[in-house]
Amino acid sequence: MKKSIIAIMLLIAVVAGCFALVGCDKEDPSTVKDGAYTIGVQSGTTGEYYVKGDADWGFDGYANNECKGYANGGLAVQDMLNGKVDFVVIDEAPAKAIAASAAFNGKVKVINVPLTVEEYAFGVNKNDAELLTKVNAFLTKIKGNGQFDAIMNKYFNGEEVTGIESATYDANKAQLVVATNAAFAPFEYKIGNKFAGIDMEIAALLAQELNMELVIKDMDFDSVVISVGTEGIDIAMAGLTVNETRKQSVNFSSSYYNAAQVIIVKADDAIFDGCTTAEQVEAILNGTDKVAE
Amino acid sequence: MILAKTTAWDIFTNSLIKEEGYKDVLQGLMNTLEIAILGLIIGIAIGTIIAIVKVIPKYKKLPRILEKIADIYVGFFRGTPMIVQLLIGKYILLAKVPIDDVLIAVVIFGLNSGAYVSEIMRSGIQSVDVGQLEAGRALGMSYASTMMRVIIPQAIKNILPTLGNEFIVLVKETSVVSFIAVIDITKAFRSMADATYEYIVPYLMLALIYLIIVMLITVLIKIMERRLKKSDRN
Repeated sequence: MKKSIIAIMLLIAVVAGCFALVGCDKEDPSTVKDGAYTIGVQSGTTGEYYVKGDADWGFDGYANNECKGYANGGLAVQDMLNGKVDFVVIDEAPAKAIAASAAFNGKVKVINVPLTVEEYAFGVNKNDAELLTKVNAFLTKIKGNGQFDAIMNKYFNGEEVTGIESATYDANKAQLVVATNAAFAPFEYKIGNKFAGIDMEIAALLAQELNMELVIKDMDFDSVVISVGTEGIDIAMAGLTVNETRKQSVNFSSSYYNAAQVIIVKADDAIFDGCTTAEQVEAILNGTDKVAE
Repeated sequence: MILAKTTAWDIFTNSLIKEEGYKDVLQGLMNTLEIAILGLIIGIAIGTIIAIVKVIPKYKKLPRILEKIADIYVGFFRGTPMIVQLLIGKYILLAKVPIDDVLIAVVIFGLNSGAYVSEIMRSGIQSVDVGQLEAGRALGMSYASTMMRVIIPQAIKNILPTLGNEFIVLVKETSVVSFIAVIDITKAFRSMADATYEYIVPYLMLALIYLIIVMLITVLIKIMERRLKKSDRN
């Protein structure tokens, strides 16, 4: 009995101690810098590493800002309109798709300043060297014969798109199983129960080239890279930026798209309006622009 | 691209009907019910076995060892969230096994439910008067036969409302299976919302569908209870 009372008191003391420490931290005015923002990102994407900072990616990050991770860019933008985050950092092409959508049209705008330089590639199963060779040969082929440009133009010029169907996974059939996160227009998204987007069109062509049935597995972006190699998943096609950390899980194909991170703000937010270079945007995010004034 | 002025409802009906989003919804509904129903069946099977292991007299060594194992199992599945169990199941334990994701979900849901049902079942067995067991044994029935023919049927009758509750919990818990790439109804509506960036209508419709399913289950359990009550004397 006595022992348990002592144990409970100890526990209370530890909890109280933790609260006291955290409390002090928050009350300390020096840690809250001028111009600290809340930034929304899609979890697991380059945008998240860009805001939080990551040595592998070579990003310093913005320690003075708070970063909130969402399941996809659309939800982050929705929360921005609800006033919960100040702006959203996301890949350029999805940013434009979001700004042009019926739901967000006129409510948000994209700041046309590329904050990063990165390359998209497909992540191939590490145990399948043969597939990697085939994918690279295939990419060279479609870039040469104009098929690749045709897909790009289709999506960037807003032409009519028809959905691609996914077969059901069957370990006994010759299938190309693709992992993706279909909430990343124009690279991958859903039209009803079918899939569309640049990566999905390329996937369909690749499956055709390999004489295989196409199976598309839609999952959270966080899971896409780690799922490659499990349960027959051959390749990740998900607007995936080439990066050292991800190289430990997959073999990257040759790159097919040059991407960049950009900022989305509310339509009436003028804070980045004068910015033309990444340095100016970074100064605002770091809060160092205030010093210059 | 949808131009001109469109309401949230228009965007939703467009993606549900014209773009055939209902196919995903039906598939999702099937998966949701499949995982919950099969999960519960596996759960009841495992739960009953574990409950018996727990109430069995511990004179010999084997029952004691079995009880220890049962304790560890129940402790793990009740002590960790379903989502963690799903992630461990898919990405660690069954990572290299070429089985369907829905099947993984069924297995994990069954194991998870088994832990909860075992506790429900144990309280059900203990709620049956000990005189019933004694009477069965006095009539020359074996312990196992008394258990299966006398005690468990009465126990199930007592715990039916609680089992119904477990089923409702399972149905709602299936909303996390999209973490292992299974389409359930939550995922189907989330996909529509993500594709159109219009969240209000899909999320409210989703809530409505869960409500309807749960209300149907409640009615079903009421009917079953009424039928089982027919033999009651008081």
